Amino acid sequence: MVGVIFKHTLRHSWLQALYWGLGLGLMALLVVLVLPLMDYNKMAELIQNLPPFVRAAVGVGDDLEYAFSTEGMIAVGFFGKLALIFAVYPAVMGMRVIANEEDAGILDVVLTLPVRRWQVVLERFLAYLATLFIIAALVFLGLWAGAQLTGQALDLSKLAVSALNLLPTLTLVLVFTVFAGALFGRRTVALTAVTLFVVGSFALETVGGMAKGSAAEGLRSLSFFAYFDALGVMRSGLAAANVAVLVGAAAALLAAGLWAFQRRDVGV
Amino acid sequence: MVQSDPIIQTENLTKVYTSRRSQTRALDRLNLSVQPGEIFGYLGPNGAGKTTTIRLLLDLIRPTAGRARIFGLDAQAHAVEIHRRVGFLPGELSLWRSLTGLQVIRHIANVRGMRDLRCAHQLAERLQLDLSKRVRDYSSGNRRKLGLVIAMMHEPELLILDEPTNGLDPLMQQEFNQMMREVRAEGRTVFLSSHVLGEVQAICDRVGILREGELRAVERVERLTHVDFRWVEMRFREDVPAAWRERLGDISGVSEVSIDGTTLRVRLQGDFDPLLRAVSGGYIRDLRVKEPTLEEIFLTFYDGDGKRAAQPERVKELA
Repeated sequence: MVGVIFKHTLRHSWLQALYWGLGLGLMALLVVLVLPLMDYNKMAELIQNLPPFVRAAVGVGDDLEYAFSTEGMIAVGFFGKLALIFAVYPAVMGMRVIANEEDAGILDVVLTLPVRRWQVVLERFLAYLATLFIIAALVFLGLWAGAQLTGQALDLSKLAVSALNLLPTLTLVLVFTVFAGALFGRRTVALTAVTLFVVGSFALETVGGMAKGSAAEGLRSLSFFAYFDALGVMRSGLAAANVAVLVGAAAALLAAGLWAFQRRDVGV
Repeated sequence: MVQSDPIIQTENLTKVYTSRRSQTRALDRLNLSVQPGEIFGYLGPNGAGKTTTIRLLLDLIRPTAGRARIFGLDAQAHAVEIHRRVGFLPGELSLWRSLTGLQVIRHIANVRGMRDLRCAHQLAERLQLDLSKRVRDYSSGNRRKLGLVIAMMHEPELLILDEPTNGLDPLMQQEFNQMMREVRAEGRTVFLSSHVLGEVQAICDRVGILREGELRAVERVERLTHVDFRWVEMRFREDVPAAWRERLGDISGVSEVSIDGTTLRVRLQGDFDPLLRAVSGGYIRDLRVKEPTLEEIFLTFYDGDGKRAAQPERVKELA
């Protein structure tokens, strides 16, 4: 029956998505509440005197004026700095699509029902994908609530687009986790692969940003964080090319994962 | 039994697990045929390849060579169609721990496109299973019962059960046996794996014996269980005279005599009377008779190479 696994997965995961979303939304709220207490000018002066690679490591880049605006601070201080934390949710949920249940033996029951393997994976993936929208919506709500409480004149459409910008990146992490589960089956191996993917990407992005003009800068394009670009999205809106890279990579990995899972032994 | 198209048929079904360091031949050229309406017991010690066979039949793993057919359909190419008509109980059943038994049943019924849960409720009632409890709160026996409900609630044409009575108490084992007989009476087929002789003895029509990945024999169950020997242990008031060893050894049907103080142990084939007469000079405090284990029966049937020993005829319906 088409859609049954999607509905079942969504019914049993939306509450956890809500908790994660509330936690991240609360962090967004706190960041916005704290911003009026900061002296942007002093911070900008301080940062300006630092070498470019340190500025890059902090994540402010060259456009200090925008980076130290309220919106820029939300982009850098919240979306940029907490990117790793955002990536935890799709990794945890992605493990549930295949790896956790295969390790526990639950897949033995599921895959002997009259349903194709790829359908099980796809419906579960789509359910967890849907929960990413809950996360993005609650993050936006946190930002909006902060703006209302502090009376700061924030462009809500920019905040909404920044929250929306989480989706392609989180989707890629979710898909990569599903892919690792489809490929390896074992929870620990899949988890190691995802950790390497996320932390490695973060390291490439950070080092690549710091070492401009070197070979490391070229490697930056291998990091999915390079296409997240929280500051650029807050300033200029979604970059179609970045979204296309992330969504394209996710689609390719999902197809490869479904193909691999369809062919391999389960629960060995 | 009237021969018709087999429900399960395997042709040289082989599974080799390959790792970086080694290759393990879990199943070697299995040729097996299970007929409609029979209860087929698949016997063998742990690690013999029973679960591997079941996983191959259900397309959870893919064969290295050979093929399996269920209902005449290729197990790999028509897995979904086959799964619709099969009920499966895994050897180690894991389910969503936070869901109640009823929630699990509802979900699986939904995937199967079932709306009527009456059969599931009847099965649960029969097995005395409380469906309102969460899976994590079930004992291993109750989890097994839930697995049986899941496997049987859609009244499948074929039941594939891996060690079905593991963890069931004796009363429930009786109930399970009765359920299997009813399934057979309805013309449905059961393929069950076990390493417990009593289980297959009670309900199976035929038994396949698997050892080290090879099917050594298929026998009708009455042949297998009519092995005419048992272990007899007697405890006497006084020490057993050493001379009895030779005396008892001369009795027809008595072999492997061992004496340990007041305890005498023999392997007895045939009637008890000659043995009892031979020990009548002693005062017997206790007498115990032990049925042979599956392995002992197996060794009686087959020599160490798995070749036929001088015992009942091999049923020629292996393939």
